[in-house]
Amino acid sequence: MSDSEQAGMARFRQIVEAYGAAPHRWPEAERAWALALLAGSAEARAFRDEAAALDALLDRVEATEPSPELIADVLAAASPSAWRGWGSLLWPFGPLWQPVTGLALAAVFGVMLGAAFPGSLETTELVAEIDSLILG
Amino acid sequence: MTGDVESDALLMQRVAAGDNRACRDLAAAHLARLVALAGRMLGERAAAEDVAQEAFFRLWRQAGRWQAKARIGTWLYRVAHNLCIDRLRAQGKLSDREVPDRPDPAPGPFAARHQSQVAARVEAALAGLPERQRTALALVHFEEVGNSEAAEIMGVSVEALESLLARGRRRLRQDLAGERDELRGEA
Repeated sequence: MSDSEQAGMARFRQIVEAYGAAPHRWPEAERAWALALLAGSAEARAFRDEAAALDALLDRVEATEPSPELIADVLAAASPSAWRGWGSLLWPFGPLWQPVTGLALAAVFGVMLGAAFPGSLETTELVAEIDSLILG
Repeated sequence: MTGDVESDALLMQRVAAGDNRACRDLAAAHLARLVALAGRMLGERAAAEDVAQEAFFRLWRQAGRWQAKARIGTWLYRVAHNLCIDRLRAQGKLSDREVPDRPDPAPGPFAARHQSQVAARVEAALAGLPERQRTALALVHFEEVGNSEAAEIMGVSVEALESLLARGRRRLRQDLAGERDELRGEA
């Protein structure tokens, strides 16, 4: 066996010792090369068979399955009101910053208007005007 | 890969818009795999379900801000992996250093002859692996995640992942020598 063949066999052994015997778990970039080596080498097949015995043992272990309650809880939490919080209850039409910004701008505008025209609408004059309208 | 990332981003846009079908599709595709991974990392069903649930809650909250940078599955696995690591660390079950390979455990008084007993022995051997070796095996062998993606989820290089896998499998071969002989006898 040449040096390059020995190096190739060593790498093949590393692959099956790490990823096991099933080619679909092998590194994608090396899969075709490793399969070709496997087809032509009894030594490679012996390494593969050794790994296959452990794979078969591992495959006897069953996975934990999600309970129906977990699935229901996860899907219930997926509704936008669940993860947007109370903000979506106050403003369900989009991001909460939109109405908040609108209200804040209106308040600023009102303050600026009041500051710009301080004597334009005195309260006492307004009350007297309303009184005259109501009482005649 | 890029196509997966982009199609996942479109799926997340549907989640953000409140599309129940998209949410159900995501849960169907990933919830069982998250529970399985967390179950293998933590060894407890209730804890595994808590982790999977928390990972999905974070995904839903992320929906409106999701960017086409990662596959949803990879992101979920990574979140679940980190949540498991946090739990193991909090329980004092995680060491920053890998423990050295241990010698073969003494065989039990009775040989395992039934499948459930063999499965229990294999589960016990898996549970006895150092956490990072167990996680690498859970991702690559059980969840069949590709090596690059598994390395990304664990935050290690592909070479480091390969080393963890090889050491984990070597130790399992030692621990399960009796069961392997039995398997060969059945073949």
